[in-house]
Amino acid sequence: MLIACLLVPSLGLACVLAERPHLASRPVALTDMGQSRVLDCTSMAARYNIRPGLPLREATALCPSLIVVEERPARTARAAEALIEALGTVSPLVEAAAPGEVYADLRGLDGLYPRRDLLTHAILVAAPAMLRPRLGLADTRFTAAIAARAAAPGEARAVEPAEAAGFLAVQPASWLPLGTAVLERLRLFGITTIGGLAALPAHAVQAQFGTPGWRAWLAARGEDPTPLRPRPFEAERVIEVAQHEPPLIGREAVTLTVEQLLGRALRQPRAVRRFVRSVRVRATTEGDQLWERTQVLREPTGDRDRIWHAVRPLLEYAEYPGPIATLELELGGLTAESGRQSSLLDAERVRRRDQMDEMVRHLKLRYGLSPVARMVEVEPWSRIPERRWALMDYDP
Amino acid sequence: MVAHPRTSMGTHGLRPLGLPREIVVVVNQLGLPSAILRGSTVLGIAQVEELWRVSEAWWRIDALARTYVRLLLDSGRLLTLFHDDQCVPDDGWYEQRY
Repeated sequence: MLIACLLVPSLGLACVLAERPHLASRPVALTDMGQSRVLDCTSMAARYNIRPGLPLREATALCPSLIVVEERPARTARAAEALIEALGTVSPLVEAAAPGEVYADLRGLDGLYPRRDLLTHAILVAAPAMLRPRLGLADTRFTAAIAARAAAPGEARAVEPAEAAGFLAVQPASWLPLGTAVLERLRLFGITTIGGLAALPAHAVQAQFGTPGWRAWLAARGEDPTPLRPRPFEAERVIEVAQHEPPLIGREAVTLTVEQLLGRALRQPRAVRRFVRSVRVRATTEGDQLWERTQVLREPTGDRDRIWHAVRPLLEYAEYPGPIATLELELGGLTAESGRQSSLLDAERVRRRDQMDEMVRHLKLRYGLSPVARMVEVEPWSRIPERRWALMDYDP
Repeated sequence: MVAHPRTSMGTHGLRPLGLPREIVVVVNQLGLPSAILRGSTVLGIAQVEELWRVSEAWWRIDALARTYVRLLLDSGRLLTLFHDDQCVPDDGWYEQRY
């Protein structure tokens, strides 16, 4: 077994049902934040012909007793992260293909997990039990995904290489990695199982459906050529998080906090003397709504001002979905140790700033915290005086 | 497995400036300050110069509702106080500098 797939189908809806299990047998529709369209629905709702993409008004007309739940992207993202970490406990090579669909390369783990049941147990124990994830183990990526789909919730299903073709043959064709239009054409051709596609000649499939069709044909025969694309190692990224109670309302306060997080992230030992390639900022509201932006820098840099220059516009023009309870900043794609030749003609101002920074570092070492603060505008327009200005630790 | 890089959480050192200070106030029948007690000293009030109300985020649990008064003291000094409207009239008075 080379590849594991940990799967929670319809992750957003699964998160809702994990919190409110009594809804599992009721017609429930998960909608977008504006409550305009159905994103997902339970099998009971599907009986009323409700399907993803349907306007909510039509859905409620089809099923008057429909229970409508608004999506909470931050909660879904947390669950997706928990699944990634679950597979990360057994293998460093983990790919997050989609929210709720994670793959791991299991090669070389025989010494750690001599029996397969030990391996599956380690993964399932690490995963959030409330979501009842399914685990598929197989020789190829596609077969592992189908094995996970075929497994019972909270259970594992392993498919040996010799039995892969036979296992896949009876699975529905709608599970093939093809677009909706192609799947509809397959249905019109009378191909309802994966085995139906595998039985066709390769050239005929390629002539009809092009390269994606040929890849799907290989996958259907248990020979999926798609490689695993592991996410970067932990050592290549640095994350800083700040939580706020009460949540931040003003844009200035968010901007200031992110600026401070950037300073802290760059001071982490893992980031020192290394250049950064990308910056991701994620803001979570108290209602679990999510705002996230990633800025890939024009060139790798370790200079705080240059990184801030790239990130700041994202924050200044941001439209947050609500008061911000959590802010997270991630520096990604850290390079190996790097340096930059500084100018021989440094300005006096820069020299003074460096001297002050050095002095504050000394004081911080002596007293355990920075005794110097700077005054910053937080919400200068506020009618509440104590919200207008704040002191922020001067922490070079 | 490398340890998760997330650091401990906190508000990272934003300390509000101009926080109100609690003050002891004697109120009249209208619920307005008639005198201020500062230790053993009683500060007389010559006149209520201005009165206004601030209400914010009424939909939240930590809603804010304050009644501000600008007072002219007997000494000729101006002083701004507010009353936290979630408290009883005798209690919840603060001095605030603008």
